[in-house]
Amino acid sequence: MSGGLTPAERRTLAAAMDRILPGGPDGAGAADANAAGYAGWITCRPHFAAAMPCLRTGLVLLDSLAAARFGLAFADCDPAERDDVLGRMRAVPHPTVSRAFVMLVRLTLNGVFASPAYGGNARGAGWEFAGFAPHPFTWPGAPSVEASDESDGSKASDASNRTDGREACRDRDSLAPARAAAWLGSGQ
Amino acid sequence: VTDVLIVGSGAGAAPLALRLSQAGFDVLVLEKGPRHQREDFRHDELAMALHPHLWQPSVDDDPHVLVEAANGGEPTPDTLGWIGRCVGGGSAHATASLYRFHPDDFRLRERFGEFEEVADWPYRYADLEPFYCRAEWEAGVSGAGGVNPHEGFRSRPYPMPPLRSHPFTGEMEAACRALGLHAFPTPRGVNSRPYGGRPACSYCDFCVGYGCPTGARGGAMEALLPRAEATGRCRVRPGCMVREVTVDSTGRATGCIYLDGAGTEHRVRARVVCVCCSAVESARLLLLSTSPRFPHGLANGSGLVGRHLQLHAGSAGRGRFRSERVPHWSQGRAAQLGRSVMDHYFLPPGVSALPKGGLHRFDVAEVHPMAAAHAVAFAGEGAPLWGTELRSRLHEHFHDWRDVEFEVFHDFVPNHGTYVDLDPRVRDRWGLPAARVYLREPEHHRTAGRWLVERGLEILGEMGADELVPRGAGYTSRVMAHGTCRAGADPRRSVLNAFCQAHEVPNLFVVDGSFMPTSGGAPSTLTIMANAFRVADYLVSRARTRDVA
Repeated sequence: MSGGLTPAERRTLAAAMDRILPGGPDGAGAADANAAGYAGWITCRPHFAAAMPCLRTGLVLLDSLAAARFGLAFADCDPAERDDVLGRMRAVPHPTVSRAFVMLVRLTLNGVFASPAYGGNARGAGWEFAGFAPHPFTWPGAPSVEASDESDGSKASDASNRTDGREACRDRDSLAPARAAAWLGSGQ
Repeated sequence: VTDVLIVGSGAGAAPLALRLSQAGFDVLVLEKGPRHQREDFRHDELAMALHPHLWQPSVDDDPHVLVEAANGGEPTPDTLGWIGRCVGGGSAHATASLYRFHPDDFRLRERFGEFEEVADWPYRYADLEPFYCRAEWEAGVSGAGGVNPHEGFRSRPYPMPPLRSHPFTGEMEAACRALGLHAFPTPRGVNSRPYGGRPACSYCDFCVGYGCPTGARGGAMEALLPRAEATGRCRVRPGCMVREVTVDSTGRATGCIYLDGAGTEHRVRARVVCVCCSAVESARLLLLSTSPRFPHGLANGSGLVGRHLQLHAGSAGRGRFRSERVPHWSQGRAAQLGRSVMDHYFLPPGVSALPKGGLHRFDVAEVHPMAAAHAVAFAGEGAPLWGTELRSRLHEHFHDWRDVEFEVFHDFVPNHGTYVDLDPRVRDRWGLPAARVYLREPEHHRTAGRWLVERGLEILGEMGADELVPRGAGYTSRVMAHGTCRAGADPRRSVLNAFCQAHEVPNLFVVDGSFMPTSGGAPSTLTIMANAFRVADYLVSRARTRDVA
C-alpha cells in the first residue's frame, strides 16, 4: 500500500508549498492554486511509493526544525518562520535531505502548472500566471487527460480536496517509473 | 508466404508499405513498439512526463550501450539512436521539418576531397528529385518552393502553402535581407489546409515531442500507413520483436523469426525482406542474423555492417527580446515563426577542416508552463530556487522576455570511431545482445558549430534582440541516425547497392537512414522517405521481371 499522505503530512506539505511558491500581486501561488491537491493525487500513485520514504523524511525534518527553532509544528509557524525552516532544510548537506527538497519544489511546480485534471492548478491559476492559454481541445474541452477513463479529472480534484488524500488513491493507468521519478524529484 | 516483409514502420518502412501494397503486393509490417491512436496524444505536460516511454524504450527494457570517446570510453546504457519505437517511428513525434538535401550533399567527396570517411552517394540529387516530389505529396508538406535560392531543382511545387506565420516572422525576414541572407518558410509535414483526409493544423503549440491529436501532422503513422492498410493488402502488426532474418542454403532471405508480447516465437516466410528499423537497430538485426553462410551477420561479408554510423551534429542559440519592446508579439497559439536559412550550408575558407556548414531553423519558443517552471527553478547548479526568488524569476521568464530560438542541423562526419556492434554483456528484455554505439565526434563539429552559432546570433542581433545566448555548438543530436549499411557500387566497400539492395543477398533491402554515405546538413526524414519511394519503384519493376521476388 503506497498509502498517500496522512492529513497531518498533507498539512505540512501544503504549508511548505505555500512558501516554495508564494502568491503575489501578479497571480496565484501554490496555496491559491491548490498545489497540495495535486500532491494528494500523485503521492497515491503506485510508482510514487518508492519516493514516499524520502518525502516523509523531508516532512519530518520540517517539523523537527520548526519545533527546535520555534517550538511549533511547521504548519503552525508564520510565513517568516517557515521560510527560515525551509532555508535551513535546503542547506542541510545530506543527499536524502537534498532529494527531499528537490521533491518539494517539483511537487509544488507540478501542482501549480500541470493540468487542473490532476487536482492542482485550481481554476487554471497557474496557467494564468504563466500567460499560457490552453488550446480549447486540451482544457476544459475533450479529449482531456482522463477522457478515455472512467474516473475523470473532476473526480481527481474532488477526491484530493478531501482531508484524507487516501481517498484519491485510485489506479487509473499504469505509469512508467523512470522519467516520472526524475520529474517528481523522487529519483536522481 | 508474404510477398514483402517490412521490419519497422517509420519513415523508411511506410513509403514501401504504401507503394508496394498499391502495386498489388501482399505486405506485412512488423513493428516492435505499440500502435498509438490520436486519442493517446494528450497535450498535457504531466501526462507526457508520466508516460516517458511513449516514443522511446527505457534503458532497462531495450537499451543501447553508449561508448563515448569524449567520456573516457566507459560503456553506459543509453537511448542514443532510438528515435521512435512505435507504429510510425520517429515521425509520430518529430517536428516534421521536411527539407530536401542540397544537391552537393550527394557528392561531398567529389567536391571537397578526402576527409575522415566521407564518401559520395551512389546516386545524385537528380535521381532522387522525382521521389522528393512524391514524398512531399504523399506525406503532405507545407512550404514554398523557389524562395530559398540554394535549394536544388524542383519539378513540382509543394502540395500546400506554408503554415500561418507569426507576427515576428516579417522582422526575421527583414533582418535576413539586411544581412544579404534568404529566409524561407520551413517546409513542414503539417497541413496548412485540409489535405489527404486530414484537417489543417490547429496551431496548438505542442508539436515538438508531442503526438498530433488531430492528424494534421502527416508522417508515416497518419499519412502513409493507413492508406497502405486501406488497400486490403497491407497488415501492420505492432508488438512484434524481430530477432533474426532467416536465410536458406543459397543465401537468400526467407523471412524472419519474431517474438510477440508474450515472448512466443513466430516464423514469417516472405519473398522479399526489407529491414527498416533505423540505422542502429537495422545494423543490430543484421548482426544478430548469423548463419553458416553469414557467420558475421547477414550481408556482412564486407565487415561494414554497423560502420560509418552518423547521427546529426547540432548547434543552437537564442535571442531574448524584452517584452515591452515587442508589443505585437503574439504568445501561444499564433503559429510559428517558421523560417529557415540555408545561406551557411557551406563554410568560407579557413573556418574548419571541412567547408561544410548547415541549415538554420528559427522559431519562437513554445510556451509549456510546467517544463518552463522546472527549467527556471533548476537553472543553476546545486539546490533549486524557491520562495520569492523563484516567484520573481518565474514572473520574469513568463512575462518580461520573448524568445526566438534557432537550431542548426549540420553534418555528422562519418569516422572510424563511430560505429555500432553487439554488446557482449548487455541484453534487452528478450535476452538478445544490445546494440553498442561507439561515438567519436570529429573536431569539425565544434569548429563548424561555433561559426554557425555566431551566424545565427548575428541574425537575432539584426532583429534587435536584447540578449544573445549561445546554446551549444557541435553537440550530437539524439535523433536521426544514418550510415550503418552504406550504399555504394563496390561490394567490398559498401553493404548495399544504389537501390538499398544487399550486395550479398538479392532479396534483402535495408531502407531507412542506414544506406546514407553522409548524413546531409539538414534533417534527413524527407530524404529517407524519398529514397524509400525510389526503392519501392525499383522493387516493383524488378518483381515484374521476376528478378527479385
